[in-house]
Amino acid sequence: MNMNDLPHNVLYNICKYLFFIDVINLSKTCKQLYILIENNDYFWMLLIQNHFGSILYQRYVNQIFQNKKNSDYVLYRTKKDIQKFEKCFRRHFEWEMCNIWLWNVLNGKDNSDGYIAHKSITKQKQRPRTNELKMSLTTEEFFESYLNRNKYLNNENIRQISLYKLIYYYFIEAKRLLGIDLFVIDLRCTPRHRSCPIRKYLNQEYLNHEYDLNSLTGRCVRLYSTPLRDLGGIKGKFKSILPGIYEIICRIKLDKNNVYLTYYTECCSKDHRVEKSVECSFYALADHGLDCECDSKTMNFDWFESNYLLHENINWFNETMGKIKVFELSNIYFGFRIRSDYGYRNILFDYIQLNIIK
Amino acid sequence: MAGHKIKLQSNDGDIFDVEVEIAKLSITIKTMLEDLSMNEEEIIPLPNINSAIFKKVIQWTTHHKDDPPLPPEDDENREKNTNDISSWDQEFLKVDQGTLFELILAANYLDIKGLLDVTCTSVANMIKGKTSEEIRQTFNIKNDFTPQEEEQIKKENEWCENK
Repeated sequence: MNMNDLPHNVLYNICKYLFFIDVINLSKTCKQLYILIENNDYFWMLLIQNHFGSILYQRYVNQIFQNKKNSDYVLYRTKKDIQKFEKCFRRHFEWEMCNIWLWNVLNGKDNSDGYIAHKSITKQKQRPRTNELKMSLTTEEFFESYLNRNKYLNNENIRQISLYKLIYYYFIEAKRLLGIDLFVIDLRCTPRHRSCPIRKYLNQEYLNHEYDLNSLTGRCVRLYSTPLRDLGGIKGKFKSILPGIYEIICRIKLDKNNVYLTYYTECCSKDHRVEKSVECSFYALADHGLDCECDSKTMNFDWFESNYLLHENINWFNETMGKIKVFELSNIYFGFRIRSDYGYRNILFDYIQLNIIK
Repeated sequence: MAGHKIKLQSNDGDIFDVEVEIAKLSITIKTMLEDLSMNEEEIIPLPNINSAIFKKVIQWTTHHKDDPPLPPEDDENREKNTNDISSWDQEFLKVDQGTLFELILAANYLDIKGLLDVTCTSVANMIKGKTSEEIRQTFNIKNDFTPQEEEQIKKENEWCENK
């Protein structure tokens, strides 16, 4: 009696309890197992069902590749819509793209793409042109998204791999961006944008990077704001995110920065409201999906203090920012910031991660 | 009807008197009794299972007879697909590999989900964290790839192994 003699359903049942890498190693042991696993669509479909549940299974096996694209009309993306939004965009001053948090997060300084996506979503919410936006993806888009991020794949070899193995791998692949790779936002660009050109000469130290052994790569970003140094924000963009509903997690740590304790105490003595005035907020937007917000009503002084009580300034923890829905292949813009902390209450930012949930 | 028994015969001829409630943990036997309206006096043959293995199956089902029914494998319960094995089951599964595979086959044939899950988990735990060569050694699998084929497979999987 040997492993190879087991019926297929039993072998699949065993694989239910294995991680991806174990399944791959098992498939490489002999020809029989290789054939049963490697390019067997049915095997990977079963594994998707077992590991990710029936909703994601239905979505990726039976729906998104069959669904038609949503029309430009229902998405508020017709030529006319875009022209209208472009016109609005041009009405803003250039410095607003820096100073207004949302426009900054949406890369308004670089182009109008994020701004237009935001306008479309706002319109969809205010006056929906349909009640049923569908998730859809073409296999070409799916391959393209892989080719853009995986140097080992090309137009030929990707077609030799089971589509469902590629889908499975997309689900487990870490969709994560490190704080140190993100762009730190300085909202203190002066009107007329004057100080912006200096920013590219800023050194790492000024950008608040610091070492922390327990962060993912040993380095993280410190976020805080004072009237002199407003580096309380961080922004970035996830590229080529496939349809689905994702949970957004930020790995953070809290700290009370004694460097600013005197300053904070002085401010408190002048105005007692300062004492409880921390405001953190998060915003994310999928350019072919919806947006997600976790505002300062949630991440306020009480939120900070209760988490500080729980984790002190020692433990990293995962904070869920919310869920975001993606209808078609999207880039997800996001920004996280802390305000009114008077330099004293700081956030250390390790990474942001998307977890597909359904 | 607690204590009511039926007769089950292994493929080497031994007949076992098993309480109906315990035997019915096997969906295969339950279906035979209910759908096929088998006479309770009749001896039910189990052509795929030998006495030694069947004794182990009875031992397992007797111990687990009062377990709550397994929840359906829906999304709510998916997270519970853990590799934890209770200490009783761990002790029970301290058998040679041949017996473990025979038990899996028996659980599969008799359709006893709990036993199939725990035995498969046990095998999965033996695979986890091992390289292909270590898996071959553990399960005595013959490597029938040519060196060229091995190289080819290694290359095929570069995209998901070397990121």
